[in-house]
Amino acid sequence: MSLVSGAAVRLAAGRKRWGVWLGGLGGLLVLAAPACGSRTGLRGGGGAGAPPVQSCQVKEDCVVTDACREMDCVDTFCQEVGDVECPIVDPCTVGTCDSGVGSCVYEPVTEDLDGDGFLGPLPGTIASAPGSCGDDCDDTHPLAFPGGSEVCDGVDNDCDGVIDNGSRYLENAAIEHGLRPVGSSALDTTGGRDLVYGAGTFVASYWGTSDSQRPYFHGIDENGLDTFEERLVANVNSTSFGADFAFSGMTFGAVLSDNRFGDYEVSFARFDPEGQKLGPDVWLTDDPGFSTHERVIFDQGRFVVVWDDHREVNLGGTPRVFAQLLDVDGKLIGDNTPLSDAGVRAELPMIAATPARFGLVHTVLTPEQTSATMLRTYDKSFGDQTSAQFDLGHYRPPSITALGSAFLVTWIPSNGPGPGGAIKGMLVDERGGMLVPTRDLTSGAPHVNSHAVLSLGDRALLVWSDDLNGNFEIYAMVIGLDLGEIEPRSRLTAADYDSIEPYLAMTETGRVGIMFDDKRTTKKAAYFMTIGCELEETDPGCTCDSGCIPGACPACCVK
Amino acid sequence: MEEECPDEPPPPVVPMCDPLSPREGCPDGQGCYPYLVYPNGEGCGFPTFGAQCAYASSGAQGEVCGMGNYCEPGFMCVIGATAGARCAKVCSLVEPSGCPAGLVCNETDVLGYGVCF
Repeated sequence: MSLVSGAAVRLAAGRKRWGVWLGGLGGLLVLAAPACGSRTGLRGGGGAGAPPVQSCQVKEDCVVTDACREMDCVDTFCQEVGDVECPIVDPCTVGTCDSGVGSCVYEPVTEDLDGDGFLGPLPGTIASAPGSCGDDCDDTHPLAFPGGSEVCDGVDNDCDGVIDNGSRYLENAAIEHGLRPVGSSALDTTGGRDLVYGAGTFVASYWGTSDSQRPYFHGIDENGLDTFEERLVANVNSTSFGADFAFSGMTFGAVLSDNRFGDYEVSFARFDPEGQKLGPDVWLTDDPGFSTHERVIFDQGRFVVVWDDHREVNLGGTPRVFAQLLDVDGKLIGDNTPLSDAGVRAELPMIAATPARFGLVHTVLTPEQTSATMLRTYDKSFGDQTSAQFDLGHYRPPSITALGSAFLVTWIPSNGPGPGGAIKGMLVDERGGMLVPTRDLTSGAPHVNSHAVLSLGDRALLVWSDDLNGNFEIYAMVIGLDLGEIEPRSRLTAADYDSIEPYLAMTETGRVGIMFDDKRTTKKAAYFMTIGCELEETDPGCTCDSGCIPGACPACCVK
Repeated sequence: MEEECPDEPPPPVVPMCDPLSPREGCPDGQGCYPYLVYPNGEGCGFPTFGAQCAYASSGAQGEVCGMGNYCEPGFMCVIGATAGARCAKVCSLVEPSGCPAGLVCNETDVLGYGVCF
């Protein structure tokens, strides 16, 4: 996609972007006058489709129809004798010749996907790093850019690597604030699959049953009001457990596995912020055997999809984990890439991205038929890889969350035939090196059912379901980079039936949306509620040195 | 934009037996298992659900199944819970589920039947 492709990209006038001030040029970075440099020596060709032959005596007789192609009079006929070649004047721009005037027009090689006037970095680079060609640390949020003002909005507004410096989420969290069902009354039962936020709306993704089990999604604002009505991800009758979503800064990408063609295959579709589908489904798989447990994230201008795939099972192989990249417009980039080893049963992948690398966890069936965890990290082309297998004794598949430049791996351990009572976690660096070894993150309950993690940059919001108080309820806490408690356990639901399977997303105004499943009306349904974020008050008698976090006073600051 | 599937009713569900009472109504040596037949592959078909008697196997909760090893009556062989296909107890999606302590009844792609996990 071009930076100048119409209204999709919005440049705020007067904002500085990597040292170049832009005025009303619609995003075009035009280098004036001498831009037309060397020309190629290619001669113009003839044949079908070539322009009519002009006779001439001198060069000036030749009518120039494309100012980017130089004409000359050769043997009394006008011929193209070369093309304008735009020199590289800046590795962060690429030049193309304007055929109207014959001068080079330069566009950035990176894009401003969130329209905040700052360019995102090249894939695989860190914002503001040399060669990154962009300094927007989060090009999916228009309120995050260098020099921005930090507010309690779930975003690293000033690009200092810390989200919501000094904020609190749980101190005054109300039980079931704004609770509402997610699905419509037309559905018999519903169950959550994913929750994301972008462009002023939560997108709650869920499955719903009536005469079949179909994938739905629904737009909800931070006050719990509809932004758009319930819609199908795919209008088919086959079975699905709902779609996984990611927000690109402009559109929502959804990956879905369903069996409409007689086998579970994975497709991709995009939706605008009003929930309208943008084009037909793009199929990522079409092979014998299930392709399921699909996940998608959006990272540095690309949708990244992972899933487990049984395509090799009928050939005597095992299920493997694959990946597929798509550009921001939903076009496939390359082919399916196998991420797990041949001959090893690998399933249930989950992927996260730091600025520099991908982190992937998936299950592995060991020769003893136990379930181990494989942790892999990759560069952004899935080339350079690290891998390490852990016997975490997990009951449910492990999850992975990017936390700054580290990966937080969390899981629910087994305890006999069921789940244990504590969520466990470990923190690894971008190459899988251990930063904080395994420790219990929660305690006190006989069983944990499920959990979700939301990165706060240098902390994480952990939301989970356990039976500390009898039936399963939803709880939350905030943990730090040492995996220690920052904000203690806080109860978020109170119902007679089990509340399980939380999903999390955060608005740009600091509200955290939580979707979970519950049977409080006797039939299973997905519900939505929110918790807020409060900035810590700075001690008025406290002076903080530059670089201190105001809320950290007095530990960081002095009276 | 996208072709819509015709508004047709799904095929009827014809349970030949009750997976929640898996030994009732089945001959000795057999049990009642839920089943699922995938759509015909043309894009708009419905899956077909049901339950029928089949030869009983021996896989218990959490044991690896598939490739000739299947589950004892009252259990289903499912993927997605943890590594590998595993036997899981068939349960009612309407309370009470009958699941052991610490487990809840989760939906499967056999509409109407869940498994304890």
